[in-house]
Amino acid sequence: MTEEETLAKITEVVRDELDDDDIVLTRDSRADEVEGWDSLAHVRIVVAVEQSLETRFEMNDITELQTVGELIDLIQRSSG
Amino acid sequence: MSQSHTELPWLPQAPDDFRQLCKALDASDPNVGNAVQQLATHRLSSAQARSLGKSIKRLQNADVALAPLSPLKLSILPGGTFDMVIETLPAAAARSGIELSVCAAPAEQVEQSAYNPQSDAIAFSPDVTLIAVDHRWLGLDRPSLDPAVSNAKIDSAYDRLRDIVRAISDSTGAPAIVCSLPTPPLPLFGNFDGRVAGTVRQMIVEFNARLHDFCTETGSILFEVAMIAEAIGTGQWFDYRMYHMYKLPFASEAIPLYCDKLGQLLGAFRGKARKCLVLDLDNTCWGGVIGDDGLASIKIGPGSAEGESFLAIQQLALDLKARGIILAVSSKNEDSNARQPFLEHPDMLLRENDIAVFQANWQDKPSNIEAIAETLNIGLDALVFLDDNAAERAQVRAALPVVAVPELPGDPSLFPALLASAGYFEALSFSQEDQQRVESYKAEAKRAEIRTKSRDLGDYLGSLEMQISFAPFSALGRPRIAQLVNKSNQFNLTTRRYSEKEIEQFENGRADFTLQVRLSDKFSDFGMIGVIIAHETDSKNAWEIDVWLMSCRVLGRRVEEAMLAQMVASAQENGVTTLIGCYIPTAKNAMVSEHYIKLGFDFAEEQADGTQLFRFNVPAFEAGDLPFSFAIADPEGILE
Repeated sequence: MTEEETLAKITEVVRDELDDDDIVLTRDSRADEVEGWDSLAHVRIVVAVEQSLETRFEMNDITELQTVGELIDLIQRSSG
Repeated sequence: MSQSHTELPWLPQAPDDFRQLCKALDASDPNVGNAVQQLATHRLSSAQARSLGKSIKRLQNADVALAPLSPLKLSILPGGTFDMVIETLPAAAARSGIELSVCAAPAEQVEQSAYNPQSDAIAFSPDVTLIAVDHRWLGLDRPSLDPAVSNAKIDSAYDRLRDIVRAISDSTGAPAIVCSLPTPPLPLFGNFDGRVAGTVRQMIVEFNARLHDFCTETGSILFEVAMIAEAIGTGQWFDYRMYHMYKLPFASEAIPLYCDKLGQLLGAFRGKARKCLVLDLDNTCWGGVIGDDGLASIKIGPGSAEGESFLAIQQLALDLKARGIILAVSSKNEDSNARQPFLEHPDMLLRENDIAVFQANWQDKPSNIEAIAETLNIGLDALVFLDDNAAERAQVRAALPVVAVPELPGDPSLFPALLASAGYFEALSFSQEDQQRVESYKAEAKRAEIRTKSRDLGDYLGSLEMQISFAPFSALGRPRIAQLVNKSNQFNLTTRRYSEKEIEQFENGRADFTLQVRLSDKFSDFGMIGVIIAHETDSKNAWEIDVWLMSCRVLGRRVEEAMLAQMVASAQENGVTTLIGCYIPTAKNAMVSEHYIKLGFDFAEEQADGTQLFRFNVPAFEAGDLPFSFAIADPEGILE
């Protein structure tokens, strides 16, 4: 998957999980800047990303996530 | 289809616009409760379940009655992070007929909430309270190899649980749901774990064994969480990563299944468990089509993998009957054909007197299922309908959304586990009365009156997205044409048999009109399902229909009308003005006795041997609107 495709996938998952089709994400988006992206939503988003990509991230990688860009990098690494 | 239990493979896939459909649920619609249940009866992702849950909440806040769903208030005292379960649960409960309101205590505030009458979970006045704790919360997560200590640990786990259940009972007057404990895949000795009293495995075995008496003693309801973990494997159930990060008590993949099973338990608590299993016959209870293949050729019984698979389905049906589930039959067949295996096949386990109501006819299945419910005097919501045919399932789901219709894969060996896992027949108790109930329905395989309602079949047929293709006979189609000509008994107007050699001659000009018909819909490709052979008569401007046959699998889809239209078009091109239809009655083809009359032919004469002739005036033909698109794709080249 290209970076754009990965971002599109993440956006789709986040829109689904937060039930908000107007969310627009960039590499620099931070969870605390997106309405509704609280700690519980973060769990759901991580779980949903894992399920939709059929991958499992390592625990330390998840706990260190700060931005959407870091999530993209993590996905690229996990699927690479 | 995925067979992983976590994906609830017995439920149909949710439509793509599921979230929009949830948002469109309309508080002013008097049937909104039905609409909620229908949406809930899909294989929902967590996000979809949450979406539906939100819409249910919105309707509840607007004070809308969600009948036929029964309201139920559930408090949850969770030993870990339960938010994702709580969000998923209302949709799963609606699937089992429950309009759920949930109030959950904060994570790990089990005792604080239970002992405080002012806590949210207690003040909510629940109808039932789930104590959702696992072996870790109960202190059984580390071995204690001194038996005195390990016994004390189990006793103390029980004391703790008993005090909570009593406190809840005192303050709410309602029962508790307690959970059995899954065993973590962390053996200490390995194979020897079960021989040492204080291993985690053995303590959990002991705890779970005592849970049944505990439920009797305290009036609690048992939620077999251990059974869920067992079904998907404890290796998948326990997700230590998510436990350490977020205190999720089990893997998030298991949440839909956990909620489905809890919903069924709540449904049973409200008397919503189902009571009757309605069985299709051909390719559901045996392999093959009895009306076409005949008694000797259907696949049932030991000796072949397929026959044994169908035997396993019959075994499950009989086991269910023995615990009080009523069995009924709904099959598109001649009644005498359908009953023959029950009466005469030595390998059938199911016999006529196992079946309370036996509906074998050519009416649509929803009408038959309604007749079964009326005859047994039970609600449609008490029925489960098992059918291998995806289109029949879709029709029943559309017409009778409260009937449970499990998805089935093509492979019959998977049917029993899917039906059993779907959990339609939950019970909170079992008594001799249950066993006798079946007898009270006098299983005499009676035929019920059908009150055929005028259903709007147009919509249903349109929704199948059928593609039909026509071609004259061809070399590629020849083997299948020969097979149909020599095998079809039921939808076969003349039952005239021709060898493959003769079919080839028809193909090469011995017949003046030949037609092979293929059909597919969004569920399946039926392949070739219809054949016509016609010859010019002496008068030159008439064709006599020598063979007209169709596969019974595509009955009720207006295929015969499309075939007539195709033949008429060809007749017109060839200057033919009259079609002559011929019906030769046999023991098996009574279903087509009205075929030509229904298509607008006029009865002409009946001959001494019973053969009936019909005439159709080609110029008078009026084309109708048919629910097919005409397939252009022609992978087998039959249109060449």
